[in-house]
Amino acid sequence: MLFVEAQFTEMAPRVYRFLLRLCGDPDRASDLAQEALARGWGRRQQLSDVGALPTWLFRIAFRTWQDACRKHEHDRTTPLGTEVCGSTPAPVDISIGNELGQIMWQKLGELPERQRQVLHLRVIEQMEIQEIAEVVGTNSQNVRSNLAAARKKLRQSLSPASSKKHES
Amino acid sequence: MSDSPCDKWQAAVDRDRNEAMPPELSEHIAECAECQAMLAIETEWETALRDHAESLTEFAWNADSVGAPVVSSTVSSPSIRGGRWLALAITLAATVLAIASLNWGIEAVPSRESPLIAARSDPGGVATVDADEPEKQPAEPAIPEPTESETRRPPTLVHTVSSASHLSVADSSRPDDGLTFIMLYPRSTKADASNE
Repeated sequence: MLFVEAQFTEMAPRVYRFLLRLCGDPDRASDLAQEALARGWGRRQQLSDVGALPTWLFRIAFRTWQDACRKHEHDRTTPLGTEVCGSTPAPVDISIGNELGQIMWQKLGELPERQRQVLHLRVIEQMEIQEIAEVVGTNSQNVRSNLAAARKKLRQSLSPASSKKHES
Repeated sequence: MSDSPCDKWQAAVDRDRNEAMPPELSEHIAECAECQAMLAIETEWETALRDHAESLTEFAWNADSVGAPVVSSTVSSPSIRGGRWLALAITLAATVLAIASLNWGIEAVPSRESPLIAARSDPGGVATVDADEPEKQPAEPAIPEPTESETRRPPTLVHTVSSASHLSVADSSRPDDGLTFIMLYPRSTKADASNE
């Protein structure tokens, strides 16, 4: 039990990071991460293989975000300007970290939703193709094609910026 | 980061950790400077993005904050419900016992004082009460004094009266003897009046 609890504690920042990537709002991501981890903690008895905990928790986080999106669609009480499920997330705080990392984080947020999800899980969380497919609910081929498209768009969007940087 | 005419490096990028690189691909990358440059760029921005994302993480989670309510709601709720049922059962049992003891107390009065009933149903007792106005008897009727006619009663009746007197003397220390007498006297009066 303590091992599982330690795994949850270790996974918490990663779950938050993924949800921050999905929704773009730090406060909203924190709430969703709490909800997702609480869901996972309540269902931890269903987890037969502790080694599959990361994929399992990311899948719960993804569904928690999807549920929040559906609720947001039905319940329009959220004030205007607080985007929860927009295709282009609100800019997050990029004042910390290296310059290239800030640029890449910003550009990653401008990608289409599915490409953003798979590239985040692939590059930042370093997950396998099949694991990503399980998290976002698709197949491996779809993940590969989205990854290739995401990399291509990133190269295209970064080319002017990198060229300007080299020119200056 | 411009598009490279040679895109074989992309197959190497999206390869899983446990996925072995095909020999022909590894040979090509070892010889192709363009693919090596692209792989180096990819590795650079991926590392920068990963470092930046890790620096953004300011989120802590404690299982106690989530686990405690879950445990309490699933484990202690039945005990709470059981406790409520137990308290209700105890209250109910106490009420039943109280009612039962009250009934037993009521029944004990006539059975204990049955000699008095026999004593007050005798003709001597009836002679001291006005049979025409049984309802006008006050709550504290005067205890009839023994008269000469009572002394001439049959032996059995005399024996009963003497028994009643004996009981009265014996139970005089009990404060409820008088009350018992008051409760039972009109009933015997009614019975005697109907007999007449």
